[in-house]
Amino acid sequence: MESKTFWECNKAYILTALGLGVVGFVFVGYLMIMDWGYLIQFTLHALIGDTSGVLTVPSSELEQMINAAFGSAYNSVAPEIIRASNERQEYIWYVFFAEILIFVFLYIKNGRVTPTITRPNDTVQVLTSFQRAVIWLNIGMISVLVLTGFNITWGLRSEGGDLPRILREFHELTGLAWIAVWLVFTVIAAKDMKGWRKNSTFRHFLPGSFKPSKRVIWFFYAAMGAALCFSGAMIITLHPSSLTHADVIQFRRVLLYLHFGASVLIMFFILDFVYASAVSVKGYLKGLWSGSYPREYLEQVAPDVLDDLKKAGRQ
Amino acid sequence: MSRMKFYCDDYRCIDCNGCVVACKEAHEIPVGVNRRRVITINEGIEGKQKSLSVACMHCSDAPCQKVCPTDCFYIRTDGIVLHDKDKCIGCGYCLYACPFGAPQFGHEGIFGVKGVMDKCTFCAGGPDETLSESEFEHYGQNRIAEGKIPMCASMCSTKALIAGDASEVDKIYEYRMAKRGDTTSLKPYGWEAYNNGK
Amino acid sequence: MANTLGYGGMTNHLGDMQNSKVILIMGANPAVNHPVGMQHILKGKENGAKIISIDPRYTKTSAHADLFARIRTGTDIAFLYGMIRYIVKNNLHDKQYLDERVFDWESIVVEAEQYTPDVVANVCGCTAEKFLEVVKLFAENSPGCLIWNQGWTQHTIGTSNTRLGPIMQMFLGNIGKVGGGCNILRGHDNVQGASDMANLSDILPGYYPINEGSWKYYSGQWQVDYEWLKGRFKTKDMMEKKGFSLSTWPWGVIDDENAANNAGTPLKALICIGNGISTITMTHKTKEALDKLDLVVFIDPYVNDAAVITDRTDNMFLLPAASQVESSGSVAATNRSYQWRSQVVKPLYEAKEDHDILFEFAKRLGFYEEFTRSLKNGKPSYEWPEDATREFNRAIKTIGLQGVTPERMKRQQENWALFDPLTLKGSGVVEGEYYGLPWPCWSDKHPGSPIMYRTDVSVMEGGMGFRAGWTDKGPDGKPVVVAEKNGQTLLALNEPAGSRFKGGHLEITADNIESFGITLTAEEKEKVKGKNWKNDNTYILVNKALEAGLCPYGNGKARARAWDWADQLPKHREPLHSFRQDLVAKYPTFEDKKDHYRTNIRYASEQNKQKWVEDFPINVVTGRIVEHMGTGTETRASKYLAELAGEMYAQIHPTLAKKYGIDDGDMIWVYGTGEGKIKVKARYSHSVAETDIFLPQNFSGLWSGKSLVDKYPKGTAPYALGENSNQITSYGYDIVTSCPETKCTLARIEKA
Repeated sequence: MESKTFWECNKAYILTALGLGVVGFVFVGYLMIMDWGYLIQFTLHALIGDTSGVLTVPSSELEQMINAAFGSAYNSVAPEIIRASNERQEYIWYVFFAEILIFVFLYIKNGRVTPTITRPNDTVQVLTSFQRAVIWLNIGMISVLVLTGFNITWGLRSEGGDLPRILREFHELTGLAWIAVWLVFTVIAAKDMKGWRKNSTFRHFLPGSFKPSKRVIWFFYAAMGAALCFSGAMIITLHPSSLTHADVIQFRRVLLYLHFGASVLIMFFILDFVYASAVSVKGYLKGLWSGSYPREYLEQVAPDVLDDLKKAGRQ
Repeated sequence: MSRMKFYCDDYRCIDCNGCVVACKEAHEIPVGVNRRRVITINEGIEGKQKSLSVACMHCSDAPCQKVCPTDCFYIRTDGIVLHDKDKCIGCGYCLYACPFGAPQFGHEGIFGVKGVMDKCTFCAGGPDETLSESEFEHYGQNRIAEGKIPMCASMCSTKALIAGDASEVDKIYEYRMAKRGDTTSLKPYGWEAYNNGK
Repeated sequence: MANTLGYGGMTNHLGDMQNSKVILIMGANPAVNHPVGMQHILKGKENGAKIISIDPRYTKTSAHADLFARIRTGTDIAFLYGMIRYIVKNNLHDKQYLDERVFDWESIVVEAEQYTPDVVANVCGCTAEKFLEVVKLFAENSPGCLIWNQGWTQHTIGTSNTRLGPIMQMFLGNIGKVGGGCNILRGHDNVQGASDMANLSDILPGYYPINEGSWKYYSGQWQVDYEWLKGRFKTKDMMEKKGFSLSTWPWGVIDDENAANNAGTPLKALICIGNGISTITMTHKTKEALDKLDLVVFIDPYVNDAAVITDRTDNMFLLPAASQVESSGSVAATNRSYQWRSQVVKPLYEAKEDHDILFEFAKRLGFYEEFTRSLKNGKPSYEWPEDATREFNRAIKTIGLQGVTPERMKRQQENWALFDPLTLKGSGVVEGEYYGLPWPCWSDKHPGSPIMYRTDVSVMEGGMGFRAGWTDKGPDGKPVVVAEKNGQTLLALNEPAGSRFKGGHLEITADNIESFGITLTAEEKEKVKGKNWKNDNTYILVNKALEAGLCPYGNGKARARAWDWADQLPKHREPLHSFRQDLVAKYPTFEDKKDHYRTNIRYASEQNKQKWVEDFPINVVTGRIVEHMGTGTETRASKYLAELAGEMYAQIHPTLAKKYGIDDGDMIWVYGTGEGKIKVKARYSHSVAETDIFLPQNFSGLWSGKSLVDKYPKGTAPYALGENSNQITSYGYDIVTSCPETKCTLARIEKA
């Protein structure tokens, strides 16, 4: 890479960290009512296998009975769930508005890269069918998950009923199925990305180098996806049962909160990805489907992809 | 007229599960769904073994109602918390919010995922037409409309489980407490487990 | 208990326990077996009663007791004698009561002398301090009631247990008292009715003994010729011989030597009607017997689990019987109350009511006419069940069922709300009656006797002394009623309130009635000539006695010494398979008994066969769990009960489990002393002692690890199947009743 300043090389990471830091600080410090001390202790206990939420020996029979019958430490986590559930319905519009404002600002600042194509038939095969399958599955399933997920959040709009219920059931099933797709995508991107700054020299899957901004998007895709997959899978597997209720309810509450939080973050980076691939650069949808892009398109928009393909002998 | 509430006297509960079976029989509830359950702690430990029967406590500021995304809950003037199964999408938020674990889910969804929520109705049916076939199919019997107390309390072997008007329940609780001296739990379980999020 | 007090029924009633000041529960677990009855015990507790639970396990009842004492199974007699010794030493016994109403109580004091607190502690396995706590609490509070159940009866010395309990209560003057008494809680809603109607092989209905006198009486009642009836039996001796019992019949099939007791033939056929024989002790022997019989018939609404255990391939019949909601009639509760049940729905599918099935048998066997003659009683046809009820009103005088008529029972059924649960007294339309007309209910004007042996109320209000019907061998070898024994009188020194005759007297007969200040007209004398109160069909004797405030069965003493028994005074004897081998020499069991209910039973030879505890070191306690009833045939077919308690398990103390390397939830094999074995899941529990395991007895359907589910006819298998704990119970039978000694079972366990 050409010699760039530290700032230029790491702009994406710094801005992301700063943004999340500020938002996180405001949120955790002023907008959440969860008992963080409890949550950290709980996580440590959970990591060694104790998910019951009973962190201290009960000091009275009342506490013992409550732990055995209802689950422990209700006030530490549950009020947060209630707050989050309500406020998602009412205030998440503002969050989207703020997020889109960021991208509007970026668009105004940086404009759009629009390649000119004179020879549309001079194409290069960029993506194999396997790659396209994974990409489209991902796009399809994430769209379903987003739509069905928000169907749950905005139940007041739908007022419930058979269709919303079926959509919710589809959310759960699609989520389960998406675990595999997420895993494949994460693994191959990780393999190609390989490390903080360098790209892997043997990129057989996704051609093209990973710029820092792309890395950030991928990282959050992997991490938030992991959180969503794990919490979602756990939520389904731990089917509610009166027999195990008291033992797992605290764990379930923490998982749900994780699911909410991860879904909010992944939404931002999905918007980021859409912006990066289709708004700041004019996208080529036909290529995503057929796998072949015009050479001129690649030369103007993504010369690193062309280089990679040449190196791999697929040019 | 004051609110309806449950009180389970752990001093008298003998873990016979009569309340559990009575409820399931009365409302023809599928196996796996338990609107009411009995918990025993310290089994076999002399002097410490205690049992308690728990179900929906019909809170006056029910957290389940607060979180429901489709707003399918409604609280009657007599305090009974009910919900509309036709609106319910089975998301489960009510279960997370409930301090008592009252919401129950069967496996009626596609591929066995959870179906709509079911919970103790205080034997007061649901939003369907009172005492109709459809109300029984969805929510079970409506004993309150017939002037009777919930099935679990009426079947309790030792009258540990008491249900009804809050002032009447309080009277019985105080009467028993006075009779027994200091052996009755000073804080009835359940009434103290959820204290408005504080 | 009948051999101590005169009648063998629960003396008080459930609601009466709210009047007690202390309740001693020994060998019973009402919280599990009588959950609704437990309400009265808990209410009694709220009224200030202290609850004492003595049990090898810390049961659900113990969890509600004020005082709990853990004792080894089968050591109740030592404990009770210890209590009596303490009571007498501290002058807490009611001397007046004992002198007036109990025969030979002094011998008990002598017998109790050896049971010091330290001896009790050694034998029973509790500490001397705990024992003293118990006896102090019980003796210093009055009235006290005693509750027992199968924990006392299922031993070789079960009958001694059930004699010593009432004796101990009499030392405290607790029998015949409100809030006192011996409250034996029977395990099924009509066991009392079953025994009243003689579903046993050694009595006739109403507990008449099976001797010539009773047979002749019943021939009269049934309006059949005595000679014809006698002709139905092989010989007169067989007619008057006790039959096989529920626990010993398999030996009549398996062991050839028992044929000699059975007129030279082994048992060839079994008809099992409404009985869960799959949970009688030593199920593997029951299986062996079922396999060997020529004919087996099960009559039941469900497929009897025993039908699945047997491997026989032919000559086994299942006849569908109607359930209780498909038939009507009276049932007798544990407190001797008779209640009327109405039919809710006609029998479904091909099910027939029990009586219809029996009548069909009678028709095909050729004695339907004789069988129904007394039901018709002169009318062209009979009305079931009312005429059957009227028949027993006429016939069963011994326990006073004359007054328990269908009309009175039905009227009570329609007026439940008018009865007070604490006293059973009725008001309004049923003023003056006690709920269920608890027997003895001497006439259709008598209100019933909710609390037996009370002398503080008149006979017409339910009062009575003890029965004066003790018999002794007369000069011709036949039993005759006696008024004294060993120089002591058997007649009471007090009398029920309002009695015109002071002091005790023998049962009322035509010969002695006038000596009580009652005069009969010449016509009446003619009618009752040669009769006594038990066989006088004119009721003149009974009614005249009642008018004079006299109890028809006499006014006698309870007897502490049963002079016609193997153990005249109750004696502690170690179980056949004793956990404390070192005590066997000091407290040995009985000699082997021949022809005990037609079976030769081993006692000493079994106990001395080997040092059982060395090879089988675990003490096993079996019992009921609240979700299931009896064999579980009906309750395991209920989906909700099967959901609550769907699998068999063994409760084991964590300390014991760890010695064998058994984790909570592991499968273990349990091997019994009689070569049976079962594979069950271990469940950690602190309620059992560190030397014991507890096995629920309500399961069936798995046999030593194999599932029998395919042997059930299609669609009839219960939802919940499990190993049958009686496969590993140890051999042993009570010396008088042949009740199996399941409570003293030894076993060996190992991880599966």
